[in-house]
Formats: sequence, structure tokens, C-alpha cells
Amino acid sequence: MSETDEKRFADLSNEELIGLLQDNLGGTATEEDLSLLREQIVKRNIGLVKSIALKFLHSGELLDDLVQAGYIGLLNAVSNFNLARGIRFSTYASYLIKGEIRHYIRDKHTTIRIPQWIQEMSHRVKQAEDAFFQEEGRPPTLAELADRVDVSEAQLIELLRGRNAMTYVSIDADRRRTDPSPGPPMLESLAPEASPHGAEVNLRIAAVIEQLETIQRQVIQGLFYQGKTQTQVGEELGMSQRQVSRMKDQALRAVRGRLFPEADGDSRKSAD
Amino acid sequence: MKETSQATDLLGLIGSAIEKLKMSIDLFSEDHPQRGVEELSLVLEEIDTYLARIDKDPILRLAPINPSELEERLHGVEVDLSAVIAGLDPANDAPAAEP
Repeated sequence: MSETDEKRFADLSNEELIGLLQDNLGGTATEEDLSLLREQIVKRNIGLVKSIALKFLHSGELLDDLVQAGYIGLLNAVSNFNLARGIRFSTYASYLIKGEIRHYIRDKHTTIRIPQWIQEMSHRVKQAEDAFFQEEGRPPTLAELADRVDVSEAQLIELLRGRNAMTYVSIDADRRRTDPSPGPPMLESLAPEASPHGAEVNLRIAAVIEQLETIQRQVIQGLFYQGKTQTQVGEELGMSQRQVSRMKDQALRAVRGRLFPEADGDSRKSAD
Repeated sequence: MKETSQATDLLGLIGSAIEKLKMSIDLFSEDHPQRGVEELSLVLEEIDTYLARIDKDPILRLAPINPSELEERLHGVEVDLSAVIAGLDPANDAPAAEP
């Protein structure tokens, strides 16, 4: 692969790069070229793997190990991405990266031997779920997944319950309670058949709200206990200490107004 | 189509995003998926807008918050929201635009 090619790739999207890969660079590629192209796609998505791996630090595993597991998901995504579906590569890759990291954590934390038949069924379920996502661009419903695996919905529920109970047994209760992404495919991640926009979507949005609230708590804590002085920040940003102070007060007042709307209204009244 | 509000600082961004996400939950529950998706898309736009000027946010320096770490976490939020939208939006049958 020439230097010109590398420069040309820099301007292409993930989807375009994978298009080239699947097209063998127009039929002229050597194995080495394809390998370099694959590496290019992986390189530019390393940040995505790291950001997802960070969310699983509560598992007690080392970040490097989680990232390594995530790479496997990323490589699978590069190999299996279907351009024809029209979904974004990052969406598909995130799905597989999370799956591999969860898989890794489950394997590491399993203390009770899982019966062979459950392992085999779990493997089939995972494959069916991945294939469904690839084809449809969304997670399957319980009924759809049961249909793919060729078991009844009731059997699938029992299988997932049994597997989750066994694979999460060694993770301590606190971690399980605070796990923002309990492991796959959890019953909760399957949309109820009767309500396509029901509990599953709301749970996923609620999880995002929790992430944002965690950041918000850290910022507020930092503003009170850990920060630089207003004068230092003013100097760094070319603002006066008074401007920085006003901005900080405004931001905190806005947060207070959102968290305690009634109290905020009362304090405004008394200030008036 | 609603306009994206321009949150000037991280706390403003988070407040606005949470408000819209809660609104989207209400909309999905009331069976207005299209409007729910619109709210989610607005959150993505707001995060993008904020990330474009993250270096100028004094709140990050006052707190202090590491901008690259925050950037990764906000990207994570975007990924999660994109996955929700991808699972819902019928427009995903058409090729998606590159961000």
C-alpha cells in the first residue's frame, strides 16, 4: 500500500474503508494491503473500544484486559459488517465490542460450572442475536430470538435466567447493583413483542441519563472541593475573575433550579 | 423540527440533555416514536456542538475535569443513543450519513 493510499484513506469514512476492504481495493489488493487497511480501520476506532471498556471497570478487571477483549469485538465488526444494511459502523461495532467485553467478564467470574447444554445454547443465542442485529440493525425481541434459536419463548426465558444466575454469581452484590450494563443477552434487553417502543428503549435511555447524572455529580463535587481558583481559570481563558465567578454561579444556579425547582422558585421570591 | 439549544457549559449541556432524554421517554411511552427520536437526535447535536468547543468551557477548569476523558464519556453517551436510534428509526433502511 502506498503512502498516497494511506493519505487517501484518511479522508474516508469507516463505511467507505470497509467498502474498499470488501471490494479487495478494487480487486488489486495483496494480502498485505488488506491487512494494512484492516489495521487502519481498527486504529481509528481504538478510542471507541477504550470508551466502552471504561464502562466495565466496575467488574474489577484491568482496563488493558477489557480493551483487549473489546478489540476482538472490533475485529469481528470489521469482518462481518454488512454495508447493505445502512446502519453506521460505529453502532454495529459498539454492539459487538460490548458483547465481547461482557463475554470476557462472564468467563473470568464464572465459579460454578455451567452445564454443557447451557453453554451450547448460550453460544447459539449469542450467534442468533448478533446475526439478527446485523440483518435488522436492532436487537431482537424475545419472540424473534426464540424463533431464530428454535425454542419456545418460555424455554428461552428459562435459559437466559439460568445462565445469568450462574455466570454472575461471583461478582459481588455491590458491583451487580451498580452495573450499568448487566450482561447479555439479558431479558431486559429484549423488547416486549407487544410494545416495540416500550420498556427496552426506556431502560436504555434511563441508563444514559444515569451516565450523565454521574458526570454532573463529579463536576459539582469538583467545583466545591477540587478546582483551580477563579483567578487561575480567568488567566487561562482570558476572562476576569468576576466573569468566571458569575459563570460558575449561573451554572450551579441552573443545576439547583433543575434539581429543586420549587426551592429555587422560593429563593428567587425571597431574593426579590 | 425543534432547534438545538446551545449549552455553553458542561452543566448546561447535561441539564438540557437529561431534560430531553426524559421527554423522549415520555414520548416513547405515549407511542410517539418519531418525536422521541427527534429528541434523542437533538441531544446528539448538542453533545457534538459542545465537544467542538470543549476547550473553552471554564467549568472544566474549575472542577477540574480532564477534557479527553470527558470527551470519551460523551462519545460513549453518543454511541448508546445512536444504538437506540438505530433500533427505532425506519430511516435506517437508507444509507446513514457519516457524522
